[in-house]
Amino acid sequence: MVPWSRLRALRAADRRLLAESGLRLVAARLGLWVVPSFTLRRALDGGDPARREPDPALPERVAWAVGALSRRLPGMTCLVQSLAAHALLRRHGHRPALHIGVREGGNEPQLDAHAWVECEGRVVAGEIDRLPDYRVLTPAGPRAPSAPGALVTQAVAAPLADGLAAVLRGERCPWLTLGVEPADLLAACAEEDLTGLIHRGIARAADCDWPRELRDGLARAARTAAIEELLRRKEVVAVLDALAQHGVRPILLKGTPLAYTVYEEPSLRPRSDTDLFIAREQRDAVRRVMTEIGYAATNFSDGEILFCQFEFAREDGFGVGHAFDFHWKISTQAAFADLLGYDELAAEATAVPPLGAHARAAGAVHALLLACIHPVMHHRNWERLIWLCDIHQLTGRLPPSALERFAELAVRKGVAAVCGRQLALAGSRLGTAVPPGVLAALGATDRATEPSASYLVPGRRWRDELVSNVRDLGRWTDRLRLLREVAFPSSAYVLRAYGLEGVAAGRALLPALYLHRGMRGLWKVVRGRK
Amino acid sequence: MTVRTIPDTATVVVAGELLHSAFGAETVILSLEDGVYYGLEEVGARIWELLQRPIQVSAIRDALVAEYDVDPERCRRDLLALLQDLAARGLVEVRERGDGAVV
Repeated sequence: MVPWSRLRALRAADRRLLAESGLRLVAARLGLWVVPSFTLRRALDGGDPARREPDPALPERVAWAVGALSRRLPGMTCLVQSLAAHALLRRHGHRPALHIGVREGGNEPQLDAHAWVECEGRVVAGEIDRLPDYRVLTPAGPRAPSAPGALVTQAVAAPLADGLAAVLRGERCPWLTLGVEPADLLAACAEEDLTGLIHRGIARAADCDWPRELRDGLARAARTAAIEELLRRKEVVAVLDALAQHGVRPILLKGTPLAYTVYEEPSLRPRSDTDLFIAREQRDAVRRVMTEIGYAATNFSDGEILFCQFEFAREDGFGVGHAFDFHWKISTQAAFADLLGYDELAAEATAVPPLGAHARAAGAVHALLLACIHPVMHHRNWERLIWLCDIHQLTGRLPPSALERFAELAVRKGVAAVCGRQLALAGSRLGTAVPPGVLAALGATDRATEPSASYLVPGRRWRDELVSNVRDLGRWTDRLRLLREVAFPSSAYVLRAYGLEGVAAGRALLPALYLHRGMRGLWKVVRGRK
Repeated sequence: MTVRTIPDTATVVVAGELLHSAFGAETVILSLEDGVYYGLEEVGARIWELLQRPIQVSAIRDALVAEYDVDPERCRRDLLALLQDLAARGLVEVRERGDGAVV
């Protein structure tokens, strides 16, 4: 047992952590005697990870506390320690990964199993010298939600998300560990834009035991995506050509250029639209050209500060939809909006020959920066595997010197904490290798000095983003303008939103429409739905 | 479309309104005229690659015999069967040597 004098010498926080760890270890030990491990894990973990800012130092402290107690208590197997550490970290807002692996038992005929927990790039429980010899068998745990939309927003540790990540890492993922029906998995892959990558992963696996109907379904869907990609590419080339004829040379951002530059095949990176960055003064020319070539504007809010983008869309003769989003700022959020301007992006832009003579994309360092901040600035930390794949692919293609430049850029632009978190996440989910110096440079930044770091707090809502936006806008005139754009968007937008565009009585109804829209929005905020 | 037997001396090339792309070891082809798509597996995908420029049937056969462990006569038979199928679907143009007529 821990001597009383040594306990008294500890900080109060460490004593609390020891007590909490002890309770969980005992609960895990007793629980394992009566229920299966996955049932116990569900009970210990509770629901989603706690919505609180995770303390980056906690994994190390949990490793210490669980390790110290396990050496002094009987029956503390690797699985007991792992279940306790996993539950403890989740309770404090972390998203640890619990692995169960096996290795050949040397001269003995049986397999040797081991459990361990990884979090924030380190092994927290179950650390042993021969850990690399173990082949991961996880995911093991509670059944995944059947609603595909909840796949990744739930917990990273959800077995389906874990299984898909394992396939993406090129690891074996036994079918029974997933605990889903084939149709659920097909739907989840489609929802998460992972069909092509998962199909490719299992096609390359030597001993995949997934049902034949599922593999055939994935192959069919992936082939269809490859066909659709042919049409998308043709459309992107046509749009870029038309814009170039009018002197507009946009810079391709996000999914479309990545599909053609860092993925094995473009259809492995599905996306719903093509994002293009333009100079602000080119907006009217772009609108004219897109209308001329048969596109119609989508009814987005036209607020200058609120939205900073517009979209044109059309459906081709094959029923495939094409949408082009034109941005003149990289974000709707003030903390990120001016991070990279048109001239800065253009200076490092590179050609994308498969997309035609006029295609150019953000340079690789800028692309990695954008890939890291995108889920944080626009999707409230939504941990989507396809976005982590972007980071993984980009990071793998950049030489160490370019990664160092990326870290320097992230620090200079005030998004080091955001980029550090996303790289660490890609490391833990996909095994992305990042030079320690790069992570250290990103981690060395004082988070408090970066307004963007507030976007990392879990559980943010629309109202939090509005508050951050107002806070981060430098001038009061801009703040007031943003609030006006939120409360009173243009009458054209409101009429289109209510389906009254071109209706004679529409204008007379505008006051009532604004009032209804405002009350509805307020109700959503009050009810926590926004 | 009626397709005559294709002679070894004929020149073959992919037809116009088509999009194609690699898909793993396969090639997927989309006809923009009718929206029908096709898949060619490994050897077929290699033949499609060779067809991107006008090429004689005998040259395709020679390339395949050099690249794959296959009997030349069997290769010729299978190749002609595939080319006739592709021509029947309007995916390739077949030109007789000399007159350039499309079959």
